Amino acid sequence: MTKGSGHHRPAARRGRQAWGEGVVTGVLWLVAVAAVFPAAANQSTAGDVIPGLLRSGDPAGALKLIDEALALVPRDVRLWTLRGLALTQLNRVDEGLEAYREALSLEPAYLPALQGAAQIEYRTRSPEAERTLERILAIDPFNAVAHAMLGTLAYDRQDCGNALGHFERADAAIRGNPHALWQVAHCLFVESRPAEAAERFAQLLEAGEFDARWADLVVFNLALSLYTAERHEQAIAALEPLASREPPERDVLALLADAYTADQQVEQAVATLRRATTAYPRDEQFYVALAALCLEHESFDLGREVIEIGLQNVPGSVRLYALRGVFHAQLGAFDQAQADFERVAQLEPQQPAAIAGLSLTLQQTGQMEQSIAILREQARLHPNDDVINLLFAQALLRDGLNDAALAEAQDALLRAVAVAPRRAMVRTELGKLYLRTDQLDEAIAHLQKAVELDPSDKTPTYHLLVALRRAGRQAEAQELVVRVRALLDEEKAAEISRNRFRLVKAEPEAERKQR
Amino acid sequence: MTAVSADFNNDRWPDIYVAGDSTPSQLFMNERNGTFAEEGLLRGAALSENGVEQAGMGVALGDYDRDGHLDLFKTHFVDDTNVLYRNDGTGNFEDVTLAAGFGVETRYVGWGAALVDLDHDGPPDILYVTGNVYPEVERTLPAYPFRTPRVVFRNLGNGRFEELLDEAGPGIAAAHSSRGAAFGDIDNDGDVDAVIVNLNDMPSLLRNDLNSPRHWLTVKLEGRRGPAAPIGARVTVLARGIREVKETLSQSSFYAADDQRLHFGLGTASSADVEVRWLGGRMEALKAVAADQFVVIKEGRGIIARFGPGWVPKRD
Repeated sequence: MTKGSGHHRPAARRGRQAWGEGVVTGVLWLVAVAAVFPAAANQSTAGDVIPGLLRSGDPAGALKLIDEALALVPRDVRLWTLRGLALTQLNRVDEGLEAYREALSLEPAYLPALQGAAQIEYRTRSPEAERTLERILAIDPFNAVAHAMLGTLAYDRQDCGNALGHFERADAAIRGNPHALWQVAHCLFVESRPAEAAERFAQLLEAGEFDARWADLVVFNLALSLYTAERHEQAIAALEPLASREPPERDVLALLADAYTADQQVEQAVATLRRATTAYPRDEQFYVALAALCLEHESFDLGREVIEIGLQNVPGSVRLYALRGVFHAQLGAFDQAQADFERVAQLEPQQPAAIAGLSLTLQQTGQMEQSIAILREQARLHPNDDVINLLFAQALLRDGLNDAALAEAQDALLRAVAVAPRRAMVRTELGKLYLRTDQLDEAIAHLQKAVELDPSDKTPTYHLLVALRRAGRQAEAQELVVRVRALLDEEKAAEISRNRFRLVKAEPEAERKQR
Repeated sequence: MTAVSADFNNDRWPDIYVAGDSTPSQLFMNERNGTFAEEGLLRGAALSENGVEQAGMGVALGDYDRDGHLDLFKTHFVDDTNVLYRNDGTGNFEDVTLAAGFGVETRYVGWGAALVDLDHDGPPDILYVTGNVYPEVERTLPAYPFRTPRVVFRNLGNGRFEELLDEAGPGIAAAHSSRGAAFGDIDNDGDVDAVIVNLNDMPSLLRNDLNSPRHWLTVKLEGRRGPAAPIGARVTVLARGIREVKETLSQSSFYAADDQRLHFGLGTASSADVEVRWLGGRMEALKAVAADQFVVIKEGRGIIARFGPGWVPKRD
């Protein structure tokens, strides 16, 4: 389980259901009467009384007077608007909306009626709401409430880019509104602006206008944003109090373990994951994460044991069998590795990891022909699977090539590129193949694309260097020499960092004493 | 781990190749002014096919595709392929490991190696010795034994090699933890034998007893100053239109110096033209030299001695 594995739930999904309704009431025009009344007062004898009734909470009385006045002046846009207001106060929102629409039929740009209609449409999530709000913005482009409402509507349909655009122009309406702040923070997170999201979640936490349960949720989201922004220490500080509770929450443990791992606190990561496997023994994710740590730190024996325990608790887990196969292979137990990969392939024939593991194990044990045969069949069955096509081509290339195999490898890679044009590894492999066949222009094009897609991968960079040199583009090749050297240095530093820790099994107390 | 000196870009100046262990290998090109420029990365001889640093152990030098240029073969650690770099004649290298068929063998840690024609069919084959580094590993990882067999890849003459698993004889199949390996015709019967140093074990002498109608030629060079072989002098043999080059090396393989007589397999050719490039660039050409003999060529004087197979040097 490494950073960026994407297994943590997005911050707002956890809170959407509970907060969503709150936002509806949180962003509203407060008084429509004020906007209508002064004008209405000059038009009707009821004008002296109606506002008072509405203000004093007697919408029924107001409605009676409005209707009497409308009988005399049926095309009075203000009276229709006041009727909408009175009906809304009486909770007769459908009739209220009709009244506002009647007013708008008389005067389409009448702002108080537009606001009243928009308010009801927004509250009931009517499909008309956005159009009405856009009409308000056409008259009053800086209307913060309209922007806030449009922001929330965009948020509801998970269009965070649009939502943020409106929220940014709705500051006056949403300041101090925890519901809206939540949405802003969530959208910032979704739009890959985790540092700003963390800032908003922290503000939300400071505001403290919610119960303990929601406070925990905000803390979690704050931590997730901090973690995503690679502020691991702060993420850990936010999560540790949550994790100290009993029983600990599953997501909290998972995120905390990831944060410890990312912060190179391997011991704490292992302890957290061990606690997680105890608290949630049937959750394969924690065994997988623990095993991944063992794999990263080349503690293969321990990793295999972790998986064995996992399989006792989650029998039939395809992921755990696949991982055990990997550990067997790392430990040189190729027969057992092959058995595990075959089992995975049986359980989940579509699982590319199993085919990958099996084919690589066969290659490792010198059974190249068998490996190629399996991959050829899989490529025939799944012509649109980029991973299978990539593995098939790699096996052919590894076996050495005659012209037929070269053509077969090229076809497989072209299929893979068509399916996954943004997968750098596929581009790299195709570039290498073209390099081998002296098609330098094609090689350079694919390798450049691969470098663009993954600038940290030295393989395409190195091959691009070679291709440019062979194409006589020495100056560009020379530039890449510097880049490859830098990438090699970075890799070396990462390897040293990884190798700082080896995970070992604790020695049983009895054995220790005996020794 | 191993450094070899030879002229890789055919400019008559010796360059140096250093096999790096988990660092990029280095190719120092002779700048002809007393300095060298490290150009391993730029010339494609520093990293694996995947742009990864490899655990370079031994180095073999030879003209595997018989195009008149010296190619490089480098041995590596277990679970990695050894590498074959093809020289295009300008000192730029192409990694042809997989295309040549070496991708199939990654089971052993490789050490001393040679590019020599073991069966006299013409193109040079590859022999390398193996052995794990850590004796204790096999106790927990049986797939990584300490003692492992030698490996022979036969050159098929078309750019590809095939591994001889059982056909190469018991000396090749025997498991040892080997390190250094020197190659030469120790019994003067015309074919190439090998002396191998094994860790905590007796050395091995692998005698090649080839019984074949195919032909060979072995050339010993002598410079103007005496019988010592002039390091860096180069011999090109042309037989049936195919040109193969070798250079007198001070050392190669792994901590080893080979027989300084240069051996060429000629296949069905019963004679060959021989061209010598002496130190300093002076060329000397000898036409239609008969096969199946040792010849001694002295700078400026041509062939000064010939010996048949079974020749026994005189004791002083």
